[in-house]
Amino acid sequence: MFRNLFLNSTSLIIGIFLLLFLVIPIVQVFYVSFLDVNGDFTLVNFSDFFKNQLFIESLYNSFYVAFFSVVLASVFALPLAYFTSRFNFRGSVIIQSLGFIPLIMPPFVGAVAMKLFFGTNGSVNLLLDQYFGFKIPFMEGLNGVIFVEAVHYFPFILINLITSLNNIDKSMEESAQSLGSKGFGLFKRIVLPLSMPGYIAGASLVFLKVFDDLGTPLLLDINNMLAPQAYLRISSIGINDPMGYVIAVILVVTSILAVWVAKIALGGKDYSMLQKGGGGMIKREMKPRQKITAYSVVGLILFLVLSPHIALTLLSFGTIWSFSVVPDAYTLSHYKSIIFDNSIFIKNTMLYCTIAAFIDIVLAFFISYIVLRTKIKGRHLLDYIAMSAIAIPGLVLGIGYLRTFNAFTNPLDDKPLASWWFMIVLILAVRRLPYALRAANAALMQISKFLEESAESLGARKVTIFRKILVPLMTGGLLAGFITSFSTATVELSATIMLVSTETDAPLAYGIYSYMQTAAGRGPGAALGMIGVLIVAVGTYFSQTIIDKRYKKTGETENG
Amino acid sequence: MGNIINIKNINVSYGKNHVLKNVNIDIKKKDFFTFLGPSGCGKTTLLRLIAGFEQSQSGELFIDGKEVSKLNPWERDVGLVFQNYALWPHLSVAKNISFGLEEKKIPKNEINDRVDEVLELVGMQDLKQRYPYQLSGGQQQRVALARTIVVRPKVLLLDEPLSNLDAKLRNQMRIELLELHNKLQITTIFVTHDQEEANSISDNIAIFNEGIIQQVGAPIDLYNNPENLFVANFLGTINVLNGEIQNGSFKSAKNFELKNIKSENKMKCSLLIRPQNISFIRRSDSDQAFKGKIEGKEFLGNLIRYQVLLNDHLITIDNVHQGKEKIYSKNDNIEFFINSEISKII
Ligand SMILES: Nc1ncnc2c1ncn2[C@@H]1O[C@H](COP(=O)(O)OP(=O)(O)O)[C@@H](O)[C@H]1O
Ligand SMILES: [Mg+2]
Repeated sequence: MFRNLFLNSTSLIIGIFLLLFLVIPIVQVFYVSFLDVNGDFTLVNFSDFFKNQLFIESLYNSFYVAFFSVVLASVFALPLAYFTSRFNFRGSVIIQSLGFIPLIMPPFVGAVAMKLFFGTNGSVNLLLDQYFGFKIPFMEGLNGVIFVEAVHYFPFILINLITSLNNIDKSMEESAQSLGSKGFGLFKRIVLPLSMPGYIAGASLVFLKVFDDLGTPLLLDINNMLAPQAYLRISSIGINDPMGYVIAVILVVTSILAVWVAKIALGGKDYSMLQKGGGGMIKREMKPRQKITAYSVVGLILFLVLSPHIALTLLSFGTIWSFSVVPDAYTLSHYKSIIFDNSIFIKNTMLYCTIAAFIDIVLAFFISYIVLRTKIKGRHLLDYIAMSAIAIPGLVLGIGYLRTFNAFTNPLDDKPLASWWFMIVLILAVRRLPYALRAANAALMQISKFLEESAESLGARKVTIFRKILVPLMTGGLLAGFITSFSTATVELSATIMLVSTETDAPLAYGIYSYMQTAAGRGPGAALGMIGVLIVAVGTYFSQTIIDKRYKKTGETENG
Repeated sequence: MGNIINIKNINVSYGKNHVLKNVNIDIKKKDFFTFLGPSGCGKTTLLRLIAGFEQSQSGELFIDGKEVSKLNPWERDVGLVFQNYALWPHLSVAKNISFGLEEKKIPKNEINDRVDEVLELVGMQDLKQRYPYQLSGGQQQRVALARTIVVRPKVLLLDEPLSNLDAKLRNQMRIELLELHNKLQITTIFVTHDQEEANSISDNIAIFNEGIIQQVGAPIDLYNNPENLFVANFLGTINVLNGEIQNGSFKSAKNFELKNIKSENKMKCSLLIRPQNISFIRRSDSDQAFKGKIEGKEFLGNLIRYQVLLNDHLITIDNVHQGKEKIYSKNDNIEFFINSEISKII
């Protein structure tokens, strides 16, 4: 009796938590977008949106940027995917590890540094001008957003494409050859259609990420796009201005639409299921000239991928960097200032992310247990809702929080609840819950049910089983989930930016944003960015090592 | 009679792994020819070599009188059906089948006719618009076949085409394959590791072991006249006794002797007798009698297989089970008969 009571009430509590901090804020956003000043239902907000020249332009620009980011990202990804899957090529290892780079640094962190590197008077253009007499407008207006986003997100296309090419069994091509097909015709009729699912999956992901991104356009001072418009309306005009909500609704609807279009384009077919074996395509040796081309292309793309990191490093150590290829001189003072003088951003981030990640693993542990091990009604809904946080643009959730919790007063300080720092913790927890949940699911799936059942048959209570069996066995997986949630939360901007009411409550990502507003703040901002990147990189490394170790451990017990 | 394939002194190595060793095979036009051997012996490698997907280090390969070693797969006019069928998942059944015809730039209406014709041949008319993932294993198999034979290749190459099917379907497909072959009269090379499958379907068989062709011939000839122990064993249970021949008598080291052997003197040789050729009753005057003791028995349905101890030799004897014959038990002393004419010396 007690067992069911305990689990049922736990699921109820989790359900309420998700309802309050995920479902209601989003429903709020939709709801408000359909209200007029008197609180009655109306469509006038949407018609206002489409009458406003600036909004139309922003809508167009957002589509334009997202589309061309996909195009440019494809230009980077396609040759690399081709080299790795078609040839026996040593660069393959480098190419595959490129896939981790966007995880380590969100595009907004390096955006300003990229301007100094690729801008009109940036390092690359100064060199181009000096040696070749021309400049390339990498960073002019929307180009800058496209360029920065493509450099960061192309690995999504790359990884998906490589996976899908590796799933094409050799016999797919060979049977075509045996029927008289060859060369480009064979590529067009067999290889291309078979790799389409992977490409579309990656491309739609890039499209979504770019379309929803707030930080990059903000930091590059581009306001005529949808996400910045929503932010600016709410932050300057106020939370009662309906336009912010209308834009948020458009962001969500477009995201759903993009996923839907991608699904249609795939025709619901998963080719990988059907191809037994999946030994990858026919691999060839490269001829010397192909090798030179391949290495040059890989080198160039590697330079592009690393350029935000290089530029950020230079900026964080540089004294003055303007109209010159590299900074005039180097200093540690930026780091000093953010670590000793103005340490509030780092302190806040450590506090917020630790609590958020802790909430995440507790929730993830129980959700995965409830879903995988019990028959409680609605358990799949719980899982589904928790996972859906991954698809909600951070900005939209932020707006929803602002609206929902502004209506309540915080008993601690008599201010609106939305301005309480703990709300930032909660929004980070909700945003990163899917990561922790994935880790917990993976960990629990590896633990045999018999272990629990044998304890149960010995009379152990559920709580004892959790404490003495599951938690210890899942420690590795939960720790990996904790680290992932924690480290990626440190560089989260789009949701938190809506909720920061005073600088003293602001986390690191917000600090980067506010520093980067002024020329003098760029150095410390970059240093802050470096710290963020470092936390994510170290976090990613550790969670990966933990996961690897765990697989090895379970592998051993299976053999022995 | 014309050969359509001549394989001459082919050698294939992967690094130090010498996979095909000096292989020579000639295959007649319209033959149903089988590569038979245990897994890993190089059958697939040779088949892929014929299709143009592997290169030999030395040797020649003629298809229809033409040396093809330097030709690409798409220039060879041979149709390879893959073990995993390798149907293209993004194309319907009809599109899978028309692929090769389109590559040959055949006019549209002829393509349609030929696709319909071959679909009927394999009994798949109704499933024309389906996609591979909507088909069962047997249906995929038929489409894979149809896709290949529709282009009318000079040779049809089948790599273990039945191994992914369940036992019942396997027998049915075996019959269908044979009917198809009779109808189309297309030279077919069939790869299998299953000797029963090979025997039932083939005109001729090449038996492989470790990259070496052991023997080539019609199934019955191979069974009756194996040239070495590997072939003898691979095609079914057989008693092997080692010894020597002197003056028309085979003598083992353990004092077993069989007279009236039509062979010259040999120092080291083996006497081979299939279990069903040893009998508990005398069938002719030239049968020679032996005494032994039953060591064990195995009931196999249509026959009972006895292990019999004879001068320290353990001999296998198959006795047809008809229901009324005497059934022996362990340690029974028995008499049995061997006719030297149906034994074999190698
Ligand atoms: N591409 C290859 N690279 C290296 N070794 C191979 C390759 N293909 C086959 N082999 C080796 O060649 C031998 C024969 O393989 P295969 O022709 O597939 O045998 P079979 O079809 O008779 O089972 C095996 O030892 C196999 O490991
Ligand atoms: Mg094989």
